Amino acid sequence: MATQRPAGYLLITPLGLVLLGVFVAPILLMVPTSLRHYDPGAAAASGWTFENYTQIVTDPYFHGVLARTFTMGALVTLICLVVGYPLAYVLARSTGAARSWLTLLVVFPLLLNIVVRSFGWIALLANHGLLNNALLAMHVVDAPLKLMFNLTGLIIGLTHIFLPFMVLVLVAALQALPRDAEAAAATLGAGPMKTFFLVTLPLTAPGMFAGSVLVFVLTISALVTPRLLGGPAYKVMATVIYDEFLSDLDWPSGAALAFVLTVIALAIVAIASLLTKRWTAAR
Amino acid sequence: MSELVLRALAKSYRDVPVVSGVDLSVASGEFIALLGPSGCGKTTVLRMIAGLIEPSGGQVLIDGRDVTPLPAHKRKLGLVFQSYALFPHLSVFDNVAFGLRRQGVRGEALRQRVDEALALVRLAPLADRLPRQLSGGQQQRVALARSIAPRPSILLLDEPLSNLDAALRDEMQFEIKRLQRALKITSVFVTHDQAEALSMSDRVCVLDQGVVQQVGAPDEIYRKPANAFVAGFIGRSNRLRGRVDGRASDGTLVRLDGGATLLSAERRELGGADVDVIIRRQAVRVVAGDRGAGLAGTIVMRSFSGERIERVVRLEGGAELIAECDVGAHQDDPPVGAAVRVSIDPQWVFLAASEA
Repeated sequence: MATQRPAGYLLITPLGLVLLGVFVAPILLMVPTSLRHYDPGAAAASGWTFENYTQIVTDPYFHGVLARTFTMGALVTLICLVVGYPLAYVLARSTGAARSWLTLLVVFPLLLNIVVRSFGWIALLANHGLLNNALLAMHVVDAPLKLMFNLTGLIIGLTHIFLPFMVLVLVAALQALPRDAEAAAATLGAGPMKTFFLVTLPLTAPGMFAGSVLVFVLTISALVTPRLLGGPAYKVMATVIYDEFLSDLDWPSGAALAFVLTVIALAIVAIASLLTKRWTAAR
Repeated sequence: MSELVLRALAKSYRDVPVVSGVDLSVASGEFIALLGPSGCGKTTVLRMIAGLIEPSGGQVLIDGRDVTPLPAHKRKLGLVFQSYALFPHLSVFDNVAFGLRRQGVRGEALRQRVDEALALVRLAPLADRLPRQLSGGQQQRVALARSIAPRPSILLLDEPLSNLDAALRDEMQFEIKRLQRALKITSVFVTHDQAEALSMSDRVCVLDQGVVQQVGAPDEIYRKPANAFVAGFIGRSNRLRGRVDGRASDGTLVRLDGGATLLSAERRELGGADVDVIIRRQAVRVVAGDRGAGLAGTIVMRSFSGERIERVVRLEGGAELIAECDVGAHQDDPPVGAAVRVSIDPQWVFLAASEA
């Protein structure tokens, strides 16, 4: 066994090389960029500085962006979890044709282009979009609800986009439940509610956690939907980074922001896995 | 400590019957085994008793009360699963405490009851472990302790030993039996292993294709099988075809396809002349030599399995029989090819109307 192990690792070298060349290297090249002065007009100014990082910590504008990003991430994750769990529960317990149809319905949004889906939400949520027009016509509201260019719009759009990820992870977790654990709880006198909260929920907690981390990290780094539904004014980390690079041509600042976002995402994943480990060990 | 009665209990899936009209009475404190080949519906019966499967028809009565409409968690039964189904996120203590907590047992009383249950299965020192830190046998004992801790009126066991290795299985058979006796708890034990069923239970209920074939004491099931299925399923047997050839004062004469005629202790009237002849292997005695009483035959094959010697004997006329004897039994041991005389104890020759 031991002698075969190095040969086994050799198998991942093609992918390893590709990742190294097109993923790790460009990221590393961005490190010096993020430490340069911003010099409008020049590709890169000479000299080194930490100002691109310190401004994120000191500038209230960036505080706002960060707060918005994490509020958005937390809320989208929470809603995906709350909406996705019952869906996953039904899906995991269905059989035959019902199961195929439900799976298809869950996965179907993933087959549509994200730009199309975001534009679809604009058509629905705009001031004179489908939803507001309907509400106005039924006299439920006097003035159009503000559903776009704010947190509400982003949360609606992103929840829709990332819900399938949450559901698929939760379905896997529910299917991995040990056989008969719930039946055992029932024979021991636990009703459906008790069984759910004492057995099903704790046993699927690692899945809920994994799904949440996935959705949270995807949400805070999402670009297209925040761009379209948030408009030019309501900015989150990803859209700010995009603008720094492509509109303002402030590469150093954009690179620094990108690193901060990456580090935060990595930290969340690391803390999450640490917590999961400690949690499962403690139990 | 409760009496269990099944009345015409039935289950079908999409009009395919899995269990049809099972009637069974289990007396208070009795240990009954549901025995049958896999797919015979025995687990379905057990789960219907537990309330985990809704019957398509019939009733489950506990102490005369119809519990059929009650969901599983209101039936107060203990169930030991084939897969153990322990809660992997809970310690051994919390697993065993689960049912007690549902009954509102708390604090010192809870600790005491859990310790009691764990002591019964001799696992008290492992209370703080998680299920995954235990061996298969230990997990099975936790499952047992968990199911008896809430003092259920009836204990149901679904092939609890089938995932254990042979040595452990023997030990656990004894353990379960001991526990059942000590607690005097009415028990239903599902198994496909006839030795397990016969040795552990007070009565055996043999099931095949969702229908009860015979209910009786282990001895009775073994000695007086009610039909061809039970005769063939219990014990190790030869199954041959033959025709009824006449009546004798002590049974029925039957002529095997191929020629030899032998006596069965069977006295019942059978449906027709064509019959299945089921002969227990250990009832076939082989004596070396071509003279004397019995049927003439030749040894075709001999195999030695440690405890037993098995021989295939071809009778004059062509019918083949397997004879089996304990290694310790001082019978002749003629070599392959030798001419022998075969005598068969009529009480182990069962006849049944031929199915085909």
